[in-house]
Amino acid sequence: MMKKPSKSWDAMGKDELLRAVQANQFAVRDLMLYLDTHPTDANALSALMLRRQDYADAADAYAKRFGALTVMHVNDEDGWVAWSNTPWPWEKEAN
Amino acid sequence: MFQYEKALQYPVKIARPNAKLAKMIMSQLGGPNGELGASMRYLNQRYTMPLRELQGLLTDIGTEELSHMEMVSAVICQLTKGLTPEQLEAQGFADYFVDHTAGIYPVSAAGVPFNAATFQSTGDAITDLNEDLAAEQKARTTYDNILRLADDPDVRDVIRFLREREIVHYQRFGEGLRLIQEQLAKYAPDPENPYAFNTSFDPMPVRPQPRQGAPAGVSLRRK
Repeated sequence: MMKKPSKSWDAMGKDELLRAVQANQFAVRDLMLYLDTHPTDANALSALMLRRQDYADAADAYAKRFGALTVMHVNDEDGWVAWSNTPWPWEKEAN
Repeated sequence: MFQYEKALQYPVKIARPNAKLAKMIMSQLGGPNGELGASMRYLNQRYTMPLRELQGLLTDIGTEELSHMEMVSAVICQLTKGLTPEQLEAQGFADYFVDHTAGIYPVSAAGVPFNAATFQSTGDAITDLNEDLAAEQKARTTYDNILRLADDPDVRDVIRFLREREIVHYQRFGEGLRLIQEQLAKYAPDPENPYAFNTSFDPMPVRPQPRQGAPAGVSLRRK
Protein backbone atom coordinates (compact mmCIF):
# COMPACT_ATOMS: atom_id res chain seq x y z
CA MET A 1 0.00 0.00 0.00
CA MET A 2 1.35 3.40 -0.92
CA LYS A 3 2.42 5.72 1.86
CA LYS A 4 0.32 8.83 2.23
CA PRO A 5 2.08 12.09 3.23
CA SER A 6 1.02 13.05 6.74
CA LYS A 7 -1.66 15.72 6.92
CA SER A 8 -1.26 18.88 8.96
CA TRP A 9 -4.42 18.42 11.01
CA ASP A 10 -2.94 20.40 13.89
CA ALA A 11 -2.51 23.49 11.70
CA MET A 12 -6.23 23.57 10.86
CA GLY A 13 -8.83 25.67 12.64
CA LYS A 14 -11.89 24.12 14.23
CA ASP A 15 -14.27 24.49 11.26
CA GLU A 16 -11.71 23.37 8.71
CA LEU A 17 -10.77 20.32 10.77
CA LEU A 18 -14.40 19.36 11.30
CA ARG A 19 -14.98 19.56 7.53
CA ALA A 20 -11.92 17.34 7.02
CA VAL A 21 -13.37 14.79 9.44
CA GLN A 22 -16.70 14.89 7.64
CA ALA A 23 -15.17 14.71 4.15
CA ASN A 24 -13.04 11.68 5.02
CA GLN A 25 -15.87 10.00 6.88
CA PHE A 26 -18.11 10.51 3.83
CA ALA A 27 -15.43 9.12 1.51
CA VAL A 28 -15.22 6.01 3.71
CA ARG A 29 -19.01 5.67 3.65
CA ASP A 30 -19.18 6.01 -0.15
CA LEU A 31 -16.35 3.50 -0.65
CA MET A 32 -18.15 1.06 1.67
CA LEU A 33 -21.23 1.18 -0.54
CA TYR A 34 -19.11 0.66 -3.64
CA LEU A 35 -17.24 -2.27 -2.06
CA ASP A 36 -20.54 -3.89 -1.05
CA THR A 37 -21.21 -4.53 -4.74
CA HIS A 38 -17.54 -4.70 -5.88
CA PRO A 39 -15.98 -6.70 -3.03
CA THR A 40 -12.82 -7.71 -4.94
CA ASP A 41 -11.90 -4.24 -6.29
CA ALA A 42 -8.37 -3.82 -4.88
CA ASN A 43 -8.13 -0.14 -5.83
CA ALA A 44 -11.32 0.66 -3.97
CA LEU A 45 -10.08 -1.27 -0.95
CA SER A 46 -6.77 0.60 -0.81
CA ALA A 47 -8.64 3.91 -1.23
CA LEU A 48 -10.85 2.88 1.68
CA MET A 49 -7.84 2.16 3.86
CA LEU A 50 -6.19 5.51 3.07
CA ARG A 51 -9.39 7.42 3.75
CA ARG A 52 -10.04 5.42 6.89
CA GLN A 53 -6.62 6.42 8.23
CA ASP A 54 -7.20 10.09 7.43
CA TYR A 55 -10.64 9.90 9.02
CA ALA A 56 -9.21 8.36 12.20
CA ASP A 57 -6.30 10.83 12.36
CA ALA A 58 -8.47 13.88 11.68
CA ALA A 59 -11.09 12.74 14.20
CA ASP A 60 -8.41 12.17 16.86
CA ALA A 61 -6.84 15.57 16.16
CA TYR A 62 -10.26 17.24 16.36
CA ALA A 63 -11.20 15.45 19.57
CA LYS A 64 -7.94 16.40 21.26
CA ARG A 65 -8.41 20.12 20.63
CA PHE A 66 -12.15 20.71 20.31
CA GLY A 67 -13.99 17.90 22.08
CA ALA A 68 -14.95 14.27 21.70
CA LEU A 69 -16.75 13.03 18.57
CA THR A 70 -17.44 9.56 19.97
CA VAL A 71 -17.41 8.02 23.41
CA MET A 72 -13.96 6.63 22.56
CA HIS A 73 -12.58 10.20 22.74
CA VAL A 74 -14.01 11.02 26.17
CA ASN A 75 -11.24 11.47 28.78
CA ASP A 76 -11.07 12.11 32.52
CA GLU A 77 -9.42 15.50 32.15
CA ASP A 78 -12.44 17.09 30.42
CA GLY A 79 -14.94 14.74 32.07
CA TRP A 80 -18.32 13.46 30.91
CA VAL A 81 -19.84 16.96 31.01
CA ALA A 82 -17.62 18.08 28.12
CA TRP A 83 -19.33 15.37 26.09
CA SER A 84 -22.90 15.61 27.33
CA ASN A 85 -23.30 19.32 28.01
CA THR A 86 -21.82 20.80 24.81
CA PRO A 87 -23.76 21.44 21.56
CA TRP A 88 -25.25 18.35 19.88
CA PRO A 89 -24.87 18.00 16.10
CA TRP A 90 -28.38 19.34 15.35
CA GLU A 91 -27.52 22.71 16.90
CA LYS A 92 -26.25 25.46 14.62
CA GLU A 93 -23.25 26.05 16.90
CA ALA A 94 -22.05 22.49 16.25
CA ASN A 95 -21.84 22.97 12.48
CA MET B 1 -24.25 10.42 12.74
CA PHE B 2 -24.57 6.67 13.14
CA GLN B 3 -22.03 3.96 12.47
CA TYR B 4 -22.48 0.20 12.43
CA GLU B 5 -20.73 -2.33 14.63
CA LYS B 6 -20.88 -5.90 13.36
CA ALA B 7 -21.78 -7.57 16.66
CA LEU B 8 -25.04 -7.87 18.56
CA GLN B 9 -25.36 -6.14 21.93
CA TYR B 10 -26.00 -9.58 23.48
CA PRO B 11 -25.54 -12.94 21.73
CA VAL B 12 -28.47 -14.70 20.04
CA LYS B 13 -27.92 -18.42 19.39
CA ILE B 14 -31.14 -20.42 19.11
CA ALA B 15 -30.86 -24.18 18.59
CA ARG B 16 -34.47 -25.07 17.63
CA PRO B 17 -36.63 -23.17 15.09
CA ASN B 18 -40.14 -22.36 16.30
CA ALA B 19 -42.34 -20.19 14.08
CA LYS B 20 -45.12 -19.97 16.65
CA LEU B 21 -42.74 -18.36 19.11
CA ALA B 22 -41.30 -16.13 16.36
CA LYS B 23 -44.76 -14.68 15.75
CA MET B 24 -45.17 -13.73 19.40
CA ILE B 25 -41.70 -12.19 19.63
CA MET B 26 -42.34 -10.26 16.40
CA SER B 27 -44.46 -7.89 18.51
CA GLN B 28 -41.29 -6.55 20.12
CA LEU B 29 -40.12 -5.54 16.64
CA GLY B 30 -43.23 -3.95 15.12
CA GLY B 31 -45.86 -4.04 17.85
CA PRO B 32 -47.25 -1.16 19.94
CA ASN B 33 -44.64 -1.65 22.71
CA GLY B 34 -41.79 -2.75 20.46
CA GLU B 35 -38.21 -1.72 19.89
CA LEU B 36 -38.80 0.07 16.58
CA GLY B 37 -41.32 2.42 18.17
CA ALA B 38 -39.03 2.84 21.18
CA SER B 39 -36.10 3.91 19.05
CA MET B 40 -38.21 6.27 16.93
CA ARG B 41 -39.77 7.78 20.05
CA TYR B 42 -36.45 8.70 21.68
CA LEU B 43 -34.51 9.64 18.56
CA ASN B 44 -37.33 12.00 17.49
CA GLN B 45 -37.94 13.48 20.93
CA ARG B 46 -34.31 14.40 21.59
CA TYR B 47 -34.21 17.55 19.41
CA THR B 48 -36.47 19.56 21.69
CA MET B 49 -35.37 18.19 25.05
CA PRO B 50 -34.39 21.30 27.05
CA LEU B 51 -31.29 19.94 28.80
CA ARG B 52 -28.30 18.74 26.78
CA GLU B 53 -27.69 15.91 29.27
CA LEU B 54 -31.16 14.62 28.43
CA GLN B 55 -30.60 15.06 24.70
CA GLY B 56 -27.61 12.78 25.27
CA LEU B 57 -29.70 10.30 27.28
CA LEU B 58 -32.34 10.10 24.53
CA THR B 59 -29.60 9.68 21.91
CA ASP B 60 -27.98 6.87 23.88
CA ILE B 61 -31.20 5.00 24.74
CA GLY B 62 -32.62 5.55 21.22
CA THR B 63 -29.43 4.09 19.78
CA GLU B 64 -29.54 1.13 22.16
CA GLU B 65 -33.12 0.46 21.03
CA LEU B 66 -31.85 0.14 17.45
CA SER B 67 -29.53 -2.58 18.73
CA HIS B 68 -32.50 -4.24 20.45
CA MET B 69 -34.45 -4.13 17.19
CA GLU B 70 -31.56 -5.99 15.62
CA MET B 71 -31.55 -8.57 18.45
CA VAL B 72 -35.31 -9.18 18.21
CA SER B 73 -34.94 -9.55 14.43
CA ALA B 74 -32.05 -11.99 14.96
CA VAL B 75 -34.29 -14.09 17.24
CA ILE B 76 -37.08 -14.15 14.63
CA CYS B 77 -34.60 -14.88 11.85
CA GLN B 78 -33.17 -17.89 13.68
CA LEU B 79 -36.58 -19.15 14.86
CA THR B 80 -37.92 -19.27 11.29
CA LYS B 81 -34.79 -20.44 9.46
CA GLY B 82 -34.85 -23.79 7.67
CA LEU B 83 -38.55 -24.54 8.18
CA THR B 84 -40.58 -25.91 5.26
CA PRO B 85 -43.86 -24.21 4.25
CA GLU B 86 -45.66 -27.22 5.81
CA GLN B 87 -43.84 -26.80 9.11
CA LEU B 88 -44.47 -23.06 9.07
CA GLU B 89 -48.17 -23.68 8.48
CA ALA B 90 -48.33 -26.31 11.23
CA GLN B 91 -46.74 -23.77 13.59
CA GLY B 92 -49.40 -21.13 12.86
CA PHE B 93 -47.19 -18.99 10.59
CA ALA B 94 -49.14 -19.37 7.31
CA ASP B 95 -50.86 -15.96 7.44
CA TYR B 96 -47.54 -14.15 7.93
CA PHE B 97 -45.82 -16.43 5.37
CA VAL B 98 -48.30 -15.51 2.61
CA ASP B 99 -47.25 -11.85 2.63
CA HIS B 100 -43.67 -11.98 3.88
CA THR B 101 -42.32 -15.54 3.41
CA ALA B 102 -39.57 -15.68 6.09
CA GLY B 103 -38.71 -12.00 5.63
CA ILE B 104 -38.57 -9.73 8.67
CA TYR B 105 -41.41 -7.20 8.61
CA PRO B 106 -42.42 -5.14 11.65
CA VAL B 107 -45.87 -6.26 12.76
CA SER B 108 -47.51 -6.90 16.13
CA ALA B 109 -48.26 -10.44 17.37
CA ALA B 110 -51.75 -9.99 15.92
CA GLY B 111 -50.29 -9.05 12.51
CA VAL B 112 -50.96 -5.29 12.63
CA PRO B 113 -48.14 -3.45 10.79
CA PHE B 114 -45.98 -0.98 12.70
CA ASN B 115 -47.69 2.35 13.24
CA ALA B 116 -46.01 5.59 14.32
CA ALA B 117 -49.25 6.40 16.16
CA THR B 118 -48.00 4.00 18.87
CA PHE B 119 -45.61 6.69 20.13
CA GLN B 120 -45.54 10.41 20.70
CA SER B 121 -43.18 13.33 20.44
CA THR B 122 -45.10 16.18 22.00
CA GLY B 123 -42.34 18.76 22.20
CA ASP B 124 -42.94 19.12 25.93
CA ALA B 125 -40.19 17.66 28.13
CA ILE B 126 -42.44 16.70 31.05
CA THR B 127 -44.95 15.00 28.75
CA ASP B 128 -42.31 13.25 26.65
CA LEU B 129 -40.41 11.91 29.66
CA ASN B 130 -43.63 10.58 31.20
CA GLU B 131 -44.39 8.94 27.85
CA ASP B 132 -40.92 7.38 27.93
CA LEU B 133 -41.38 6.03 31.46
CA ALA B 134 -44.70 4.45 30.44
CA ALA B 135 -43.17 3.05 27.24
CA GLU B 136 -40.42 1.25 29.15
CA GLN B 137 -42.97 -0.36 31.46
CA LYS B 138 -45.16 -1.36 28.49
CA ALA B 139 -42.18 -3.05 26.87
CA ARG B 140 -41.28 -4.73 30.18
CA THR B 141 -44.83 -6.11 30.45
CA THR B 142 -44.67 -7.43 26.88
CA TYR B 143 -41.37 -9.19 27.61
CA ASP B 144 -42.91 -10.61 30.81
CA ASN B 145 -45.82 -11.97 28.75
CA ILE B 146 -43.41 -13.48 26.22
CA LEU B 147 -41.57 -15.14 29.12
CA ARG B 148 -44.88 -16.62 30.31
CA LEU B 149 -45.37 -18.22 26.89
CA ALA B 150 -41.83 -19.13 25.79
CA ASP B 151 -40.20 -22.29 27.12
CA ASP B 152 -37.09 -22.36 24.88
CA PRO B 153 -34.11 -21.57 27.14
CA ASP B 154 -32.10 -19.99 24.28
CA VAL B 155 -34.95 -17.56 23.60
CA ARG B 156 -35.69 -16.88 27.26
CA ASP B 157 -32.08 -15.88 27.90
CA VAL B 158 -32.24 -13.16 25.22
CA ILE B 159 -35.69 -11.98 26.29
CA ARG B 160 -34.54 -11.71 29.91
CA PHE B 161 -31.65 -9.49 28.85
CA LEU B 162 -33.97 -7.21 26.85
CA ARG B 163 -36.47 -7.08 29.72
CA GLU B 164 -33.74 -6.03 32.13
CA ARG B 165 -32.72 -3.16 29.82
CA GLU B 166 -36.30 -1.78 29.92
CA ILE B 167 -35.97 -1.52 33.69
CA VAL B 168 -32.60 0.24 33.43
CA HIS B 169 -34.01 2.71 30.87
CA TYR B 170 -37.02 3.34 33.12
CA GLN B 171 -34.65 4.17 35.97
CA ARG B 172 -32.61 6.61 33.82
CA PHE B 173 -35.73 8.34 32.47
CA GLY B 174 -36.96 8.77 36.05
CA GLU B 175 -33.68 10.49 36.91
CA GLY B 176 -34.05 12.61 33.74
CA LEU B 177 -37.49 13.76 34.80
CA ARG B 178 -36.07 14.67 38.19
CA LEU B 179 -33.37 16.80 36.54
CA ILE B 180 -36.05 18.78 34.68
CA GLN B 181 -38.08 19.19 37.84
CA GLU B 182 -35.03 20.48 39.70
CA GLN B 183 -34.51 23.07 36.96
CA LEU B 184 -38.16 24.08 37.23
CA ALA B 185 -37.95 24.33 41.00
CA LYS B 186 -34.92 26.60 40.59
CA TYR B 187 -36.02 28.84 37.73
CA ALA B 188 -39.79 28.69 37.24
CA PRO B 189 -41.46 32.00 38.18
CA ASP B 190 -44.07 30.14 40.17
CA PRO B 191 -42.70 26.96 41.79
CA GLU B 192 -46.27 25.93 42.60
CA ASN B 193 -47.26 25.90 38.96
CA PRO B 194 -44.64 23.90 37.02
CA TYR B 195 -46.97 23.73 34.01
CA ALA B 196 -47.09 27.52 33.55
CA PHE B 197 -44.76 27.14 30.58
CA ASN B 198 -43.39 24.44 28.32
CA THR B 199 -39.71 23.86 29.16
CA SER B 200 -39.06 22.60 25.62
CA PHE B 201 -40.69 25.53 23.83
CA ASP B 202 -40.83 28.66 25.95
CA PRO B 203 -37.60 30.43 26.92
CA MET B 204 -36.59 29.41 30.42
CA PRO B 205 -37.69 32.32 32.61
CA VAL B 206 -35.30 33.58 35.26
CA ARG B 207 -36.70 34.00 38.69
CA PRO B 208 -35.33 36.99 40.66
CA GLN B 209 -32.64 35.60 42.92
CA PRO B 210 -32.91 36.24 46.67
CA ARG B 211 -30.67 38.86 48.19
CA GLN B 212 -27.59 37.48 49.87
CA GLY B 213 -28.36 36.42 53.35
CA ALA B 214 -32.09 36.08 52.72
CA PRO B 215 -33.49 33.39 54.99
CA ALA B 216 -33.89 29.96 53.44
CA GLY B 217 -37.42 29.16 52.35
CA VAL B 218 -38.32 32.76 51.58
CA SER B 219 -41.04 33.02 48.93
CA LEU B 220 -39.61 33.80 45.53
CA ARG B 221 -42.99 34.34 43.95
CA ARG B 222 -43.07 37.31 41.63
CA LYS B 223 -45.23 40.46 42.16
